[in-house]
Order: sequence, then structure tokens, then C-alpha cells
Amino acid sequence: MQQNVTQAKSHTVPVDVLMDVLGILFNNDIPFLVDGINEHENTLLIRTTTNAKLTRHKKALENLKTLVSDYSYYRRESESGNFHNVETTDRDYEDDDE
Amino acid sequence: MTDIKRNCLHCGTPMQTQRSTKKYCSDTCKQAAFYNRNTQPPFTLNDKETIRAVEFEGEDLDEDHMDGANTVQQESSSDEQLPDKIPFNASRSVRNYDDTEPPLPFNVRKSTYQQTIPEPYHAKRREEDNTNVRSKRYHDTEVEEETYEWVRSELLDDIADYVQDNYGTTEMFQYPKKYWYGSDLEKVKWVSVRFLCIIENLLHFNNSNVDRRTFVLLNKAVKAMMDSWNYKYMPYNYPLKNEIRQQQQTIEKIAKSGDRSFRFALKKETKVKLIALRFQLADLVPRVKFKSLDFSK
Repeated sequence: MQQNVTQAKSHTVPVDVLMDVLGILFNNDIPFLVDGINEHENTLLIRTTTNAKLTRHKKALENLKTLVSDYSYYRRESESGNFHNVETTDRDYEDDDE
Repeated sequence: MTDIKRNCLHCGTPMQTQRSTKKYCSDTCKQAAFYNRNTQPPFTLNDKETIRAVEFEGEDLDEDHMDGANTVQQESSSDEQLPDKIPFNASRSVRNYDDTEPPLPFNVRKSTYQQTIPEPYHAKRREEDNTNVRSKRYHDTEVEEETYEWVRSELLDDIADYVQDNYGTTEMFQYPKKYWYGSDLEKVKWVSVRFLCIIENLLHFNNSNVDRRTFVLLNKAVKAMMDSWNYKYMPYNYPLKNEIRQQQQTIEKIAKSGDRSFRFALKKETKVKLIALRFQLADLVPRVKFKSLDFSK
């Protein structure tokens, strides 16, 4: 009998690719939890629980990571989520008055 | 990040990439491919060499693969039902087609793909996909492995297409000294850093409730920038002048709307364009806070 080895991982998912990521999670029956929402950065922190022995789950996670890293590439972000070509990351436009 | 192994679409050199949409091994190849694309005339299906080049663009052909390549070439040339000519945009679609990518041991799906190729030709390609060597190469693993349908983001694909279609602009911002120097380069940077800031704002406000005053402020900023000496005497070859004008008109329209606050949402194509422009501009200038910028120098 195949042993279940569950693995919990957290992913920072930009809202722009959220629907694609959710599609991956639902289609592959991967349980997940939204741990947090960063409205300022427009990202969600999602925790997935996968079976490490299932190839489908491995591929799904690989797929998810590829989408997130591709998006980061177009955002010009490094893996850790920091801008690599930025002077100021803090934006506070709402405070500007007319 | 996981490295993906694939071959450069221009020279065929094996490369490792962290980005699934990366197609070329170096800027030189990317540039060469861009010039090739722009100098290639629309081809006909009777042109065997062109078809073969498109089918196996950039792929390493060892002996086994050469058999497959010949098969495809013969099939293409012997099909009499195919149209004589393909529209020019169709040739582009063929090059960007998923099967020019290195083979994956699982199926690839793009949720809604705009087919621009005439149906008989496309049907023919699907038939070839099932018979050519690339499918055979992974035949064994396909049987053994669990089938996984690889999901691609339509948004990311559209951004990649936009960046590739506007490679000229990307190149100008990557190598600005080839195109501008001295005070011209300063003007280009001055305008670009401000336009990048405006784009950041528009993307930031997307899908959120925005006070109309914010857009009034943005509109004032863009107008001030367009009235500035730097913008007026911008080099003639600056590629984003029309874009700036277009965005200013849109922002002005929103700023003049009667609602005190409203939900702001970008259309998909606008969002794709803005993300791609932000990507291109980030090569030239850093992101700077709106408050730190003077738009009316």
C-alpha cells in the first residue's frame, strides 16, 4: 500500500495569476489555505498540502512555481520578492492631496 | 527556482532558463531572430525550405530527428489541399506555436488560444504533431507517468507576445546609448522615469476603489510632464510618445467623470500592455515614488 507523505508549502501568489494557480490546485485536488492577503503588493500567501509521492502533485507544484516565477520576471523581482532595480519600494499614493 | 532545459530558437544551443517563456539563449540571438522575422517575406506552403525551417526552428537535429524532419517536409510538400499562401500574421503564429518549444513529458494547455491559421493548415499541423519525432522521443515516459495537463497563464503569454512583438522598444531601453546620447538620453530618462511611475500607479489602482481626486492629480502630473521642455524636445525616435498621449487621454477622461469615487479596473489588453511597458522601461530607469518626482521641470 502506498504511504502518504504530505508536504506543506507556502507560496506568495500575485493576484494576476491567481485564477491560473487556483485552476491548478482545484484540478489536481490539492488542499490549500489562504494564510494572508497583502493588498499593497496585490499578493496572497497560500499554503498547499501535497502528497510528495504523487507525480501529479509534484508537477502541479512545479507548474505553480513556474507561473509565479514568470510573473516575477515581468515584475522585475528577485525570488525573494524584492525589486532588483528600484530606489523606493514603498508607495503611498493615497496620501497625496490635490 | 527550477531551471528549465531547452534549446535556443535561433541557434539551437542548449540552455537553462528559469523562465518558461524564454526562447533565446542570448540577446544576440534574440536580436538576430527579431531582424530575421522582420526581413522575412510572407512564405508560401510550396516553399519547402521555409516550411522546414519554421517547423524545426532552432532545434538540434540528430540522426533520429532528421528522419522525422524529412517526413514532415515530405508531408508538407505533398499536401495539395493546403492553401497556396498563408497571411503574414499566420506565419508569426506558426513561429510562436507551442510545438516550437522543447517537448514536455506532459500535455500543454493554454486556456483560450486565438487561432489565426487557416483551419486546413492547422489541422495538418495537429496531424504532424502526433506523428513527428518529438512525440516519439517521450513516448515511453508518457505511458509510464501520470498524465498532467500543464497550465499556462494566458496573461503571461500575452505579455511575452507583446514584449516580443515590440522587441525594438525593448532593445532601445536595454541599450539606450546606441540610440541616444548626451542631453537626448537625459530627456529620455527624465520622461521614462515619470511614465513608469504613472504606469505603476495605474496598475496599483487596478481592481480597487479609487477617489476621483487621485486621477485628477495623476492627470495634472501627466499634463505637466507633457508640457515640460524635456518632453517637447524629446528625440524623434522615442518609441512611447503615442503611448503617453493615449494614457493621458484616458486618465483625463476618468478625472473628468462625475463620480466622487469609483471602482477602477483595467481592460485585459490594457493591463497586458502596461505590464509589458513597465517591464521594458525598468531596463532604463528605476522605480521612483510618485511624491519624489517633479513632473513640471
